[in-house]
Amino acid sequence: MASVTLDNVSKFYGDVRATHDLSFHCEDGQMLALLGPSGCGKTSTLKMIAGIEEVDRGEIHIGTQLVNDLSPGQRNIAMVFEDYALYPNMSVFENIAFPLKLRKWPGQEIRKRIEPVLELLGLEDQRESDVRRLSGGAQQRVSIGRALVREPELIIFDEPLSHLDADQKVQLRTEIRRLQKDTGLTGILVTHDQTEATAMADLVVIMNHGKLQQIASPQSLYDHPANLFVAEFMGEPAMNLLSVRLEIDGSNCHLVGEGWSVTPDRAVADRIMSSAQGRELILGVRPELIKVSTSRAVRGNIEGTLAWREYRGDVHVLTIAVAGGDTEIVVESRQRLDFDTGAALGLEITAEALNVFDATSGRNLLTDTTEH
Amino acid sequence: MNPHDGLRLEQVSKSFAANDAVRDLSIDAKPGEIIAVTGPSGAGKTTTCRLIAGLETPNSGIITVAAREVTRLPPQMRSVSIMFESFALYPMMTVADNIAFAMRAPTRDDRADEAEIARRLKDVLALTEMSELGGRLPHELSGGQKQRVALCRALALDPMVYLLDEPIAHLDAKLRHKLRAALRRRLVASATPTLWSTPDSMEALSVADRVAVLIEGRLQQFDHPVTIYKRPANTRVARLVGDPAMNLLRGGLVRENGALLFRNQAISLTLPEEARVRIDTGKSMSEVVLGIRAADIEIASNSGDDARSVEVNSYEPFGKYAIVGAKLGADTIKAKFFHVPPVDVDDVLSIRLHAANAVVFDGATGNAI
Repeated sequence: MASVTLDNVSKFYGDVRATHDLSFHCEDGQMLALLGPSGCGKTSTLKMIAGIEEVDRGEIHIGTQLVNDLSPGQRNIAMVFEDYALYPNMSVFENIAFPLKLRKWPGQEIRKRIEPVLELLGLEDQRESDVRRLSGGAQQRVSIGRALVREPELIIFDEPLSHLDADQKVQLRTEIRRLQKDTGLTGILVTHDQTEATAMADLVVIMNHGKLQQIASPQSLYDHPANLFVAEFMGEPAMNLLSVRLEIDGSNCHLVGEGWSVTPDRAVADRIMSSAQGRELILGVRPELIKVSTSRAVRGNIEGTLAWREYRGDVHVLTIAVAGGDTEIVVESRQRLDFDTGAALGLEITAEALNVFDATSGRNLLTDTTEH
Repeated sequence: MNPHDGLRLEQVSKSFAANDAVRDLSIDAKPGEIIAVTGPSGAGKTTTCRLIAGLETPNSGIITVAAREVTRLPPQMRSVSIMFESFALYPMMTVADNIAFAMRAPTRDDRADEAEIARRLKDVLALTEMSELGGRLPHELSGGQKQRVALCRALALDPMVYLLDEPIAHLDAKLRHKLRAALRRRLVASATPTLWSTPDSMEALSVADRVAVLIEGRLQQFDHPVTIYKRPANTRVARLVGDPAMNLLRGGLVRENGALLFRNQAISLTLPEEARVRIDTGKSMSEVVLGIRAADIEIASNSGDDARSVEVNSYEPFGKYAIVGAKLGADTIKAKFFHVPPVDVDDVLSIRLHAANAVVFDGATGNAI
């Protein structure tokens, strides 16, 4: 296994720039996810790492070796595809053995290599099965087995769970993660699904329009999104993004919306007070960090009425129309709720729950280390 | 059941060659009611939609729409509006013409005049946030936009039944949330029943008045969302519904000092009073399956009798909660912790299982007891 490093990698298709000076580093033994909406450049990045597309500018290293000019076959990379890409007329064993047969390994050696892989993937009892009769999850495990026996330096997982039913998705994502940690393999996971990236990766690269938006651990992306794109992309229901105006009053400051305001605590105030009075900002608040109540005594700093509520099993998702404007705030609540659509509610945004973004650049002012 | 003006399927079966696509399906949707049909691939969701629309004919059973039997009527005589999962857009027509096409169809008895067509077109485009795209051709649209055109086309009609086959599957999370709300408000305000098919069980729970769970063509449960979530009819439903699905532990029931306990090699758990009263342990209960929601497992802060040490074998940090997998005897359980603990794989964690919402299933049949 080996590390993977991209330095200022760009890819052009005619006038379209698929990736834009992309740089990131995946340590040996780590799983890194490339995450973003369709058209964000993650598939182009995958193809350049695999050697299927040429790098137009910049460098890609696998371990210490520059691979820009190496063919796919020279790179020792294995791929796991979303549609499994198994040989339909072969058994489980034959599918996994195929790369070794191509290398003309003797049968005895092949069996020696494959047995532990079958065991690792829980496929011991299905070695002779026709792969067409297996569940989607088992087929994908065969595909992973075929990748593992080659002992590659890197495995690329291209949307590996897309075609599976929900229960198999949950099971296989845990299995892949466990396998990756146990075997110490280096993996690049390409996905549009934040759940998969969060469950399987050590580090997540979020991309949009060919540009890296943020690289961080899943928890850190959730807690400290670098910009509005990441803030909206990570988390379901999405973070509330509310237009506010900065008002400075002596050594305090207030974030003022339509008919309501929030007073941030000292730490937040210090980060944003260097900005000008009256500056347009976006206040970001996670739905589960807003308190909601009907009782007058504990009403918070925002008042509104319940426009819509959704049952989600462990939680309720409430959409609240803020009084005196057309702002809607989404709240996720784990309480048992004894009110319904139309109820008057008070919302409390606690000071520690805030993210503050610049309305123009979209940057998170609380985490941004560049000058603004 | 009394006949009503909505949609009703009675004992409907359809097979393709030797495969039962749908078997003895009985469900109904009242006027203004949304029923969701959910299940994994191959459950029969799309076949159900096609049978109601008249694109397939059942081998047996009766389908009625607005108290009129339509089982063998051609599609255009059913006044059913179907949204296809495959979109089925006309490639040479603009978005607006694709949507208006069905409203102009000469065979429809609910055909609208041009002023009404324009009004409805504007209305559905606004609903789906597509107002700017009426003049585009399908090839100029993203997958999510095409899906919304197909949805608009179904909603613009004024039929006796709406059939929405995975109507919001290809949209991003934020738009899905908005459209669930917008669609539900609109559909329940109408006097028309809606069948909403989705493989996403959580979408089914949040959007529907009642949910039908189908697996391999057979109805497993048809009930209100809260009941489906809290009291799954069998282990198949339990495995399908929830984020993550319910933990299912094998063991036996024993009665001790007047209390009813679930016990296996790893745990012994006192079941709630309600279960003690309801469950007749006169019968042999050596083999049961206990269902416990991931959110009903907590980290034990003190080491009481009921706390269990487990080794963490997976850790998925979803920001506001973490899903932690651990080995508990022969079973792997998943816990959902809303206060994310700083744990990692191979750590040992002390946990406590809460039985208050537990469901007991028969070990042989898988049915809830």
